[in-house]
Amino acid sequence: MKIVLLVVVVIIFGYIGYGLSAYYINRTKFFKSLEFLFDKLTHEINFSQGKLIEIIKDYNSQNKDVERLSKNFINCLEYDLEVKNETIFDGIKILNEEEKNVVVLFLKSLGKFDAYNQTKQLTNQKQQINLFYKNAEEEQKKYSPLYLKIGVIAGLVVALIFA
Amino acid sequence: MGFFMLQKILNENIHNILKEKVGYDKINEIRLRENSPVVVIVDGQAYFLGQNGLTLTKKFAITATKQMLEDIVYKASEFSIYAVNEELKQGYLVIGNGVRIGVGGMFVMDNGNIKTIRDFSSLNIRIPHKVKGCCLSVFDKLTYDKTIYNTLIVSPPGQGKTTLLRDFAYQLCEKDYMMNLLILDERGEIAGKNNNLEVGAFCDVLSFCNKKTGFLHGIRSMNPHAIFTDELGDIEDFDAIKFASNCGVKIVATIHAENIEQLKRKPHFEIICKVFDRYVFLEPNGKVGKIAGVYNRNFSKV
Repeated sequence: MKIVLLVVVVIIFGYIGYGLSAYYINRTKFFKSLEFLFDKLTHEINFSQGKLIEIIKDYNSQNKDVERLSKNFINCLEYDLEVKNETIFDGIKILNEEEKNVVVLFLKSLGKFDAYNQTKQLTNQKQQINLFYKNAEEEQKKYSPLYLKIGVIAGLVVALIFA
Repeated sequence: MGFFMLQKILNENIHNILKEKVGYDKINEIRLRENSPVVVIVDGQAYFLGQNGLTLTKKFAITATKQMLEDIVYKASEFSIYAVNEELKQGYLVIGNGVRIGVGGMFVMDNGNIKTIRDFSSLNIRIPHKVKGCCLSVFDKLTYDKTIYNTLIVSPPGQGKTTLLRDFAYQLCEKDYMMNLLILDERGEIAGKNNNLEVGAFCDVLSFCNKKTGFLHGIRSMNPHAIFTDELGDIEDFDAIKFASNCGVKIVATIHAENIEQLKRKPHFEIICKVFDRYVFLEPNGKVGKIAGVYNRNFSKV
């Protein structure tokens, strides 16, 4: 029985470590997926000139936070809600304030220019998102394995103490 | 017609007033100018729009803001200005059901060409109305032996030319004239965007295509007996109708003019004279759609 409890303790600590580690992985994936969305928007706006809502709905993001972001943005457009941090990031908890402000600024400018200026805007904003991506990737390399290891080690230490 | 689209683009307050206190079916135009009172044209008469409906007192009128104008254009473009830039460059936007938004603002020019319009300062929302049977009073004067005369409908803007044109096409289909009609709808006002206005079962529609291309392409590909088109303007339009009439295709078109004298002063009047057999003049200042008279090619009343 005691051994089972000790194993459970290690698993719980390991899971906490995994959760913290996943936070960094998700941030990287979020920015990468956002970059892909930028590419899709640039392409579609330049060539097919499809409607914004259709382009975004059509984007098959592999990241659930980008998917949520897209849904929230479409809701804002369809139900005439203000595009702001509270409406756009509802249910998204992986971004800091600076990152949120940049994303909101990007969404606010979407669809408001002719193709040439919209593409230029997207290119500039993508550079900023790319910086966030690189930072997130660095943080992931640094902290993601670290938190996972800390979680497992902390679990083992606690288990040893109680053993 | 088009009310659903107007709900989508107008702000909630204005939409509710128009719907509940005015009635969309009576409105011809809604005019919004930055920092000026909202004006609504009902049956050819201009009113201000107040919280309680139509008013003739300016101080009770709702004032249009820059934001209001920008929101309308943004929503009308389905949040995609880039996708409607070609229309914007022509100075208008067409949304569903033939609702046309004329846009005024700052033109961005590049080497003498219009690049886009921004900083919208005026909007003129024109609401089409389907008036079934509005051409019946002149129908017999425009037709003979199961075919039609080349007909030009003449009036100043906003007097119901397009409505009459659309109904004429519709009645020809309903009365089994068995004529293939080609609607050349340059601005999406005759058949509506996505052809959602009823024009009749014998109508083929070419939308958002200039007259020069449309006439050439339409005659080649659709083999029409008659072509219906709106607002003749520059020399290319007149060349196109001359081309079509020489191909044996009947033409029904509209043009802006108040009376015969104004029509005669048009720069391409000699082409008009050669092509058209019937002229339908609408009352310039009367009730929208009221017919002033039908004239033959010698400008004698029929």
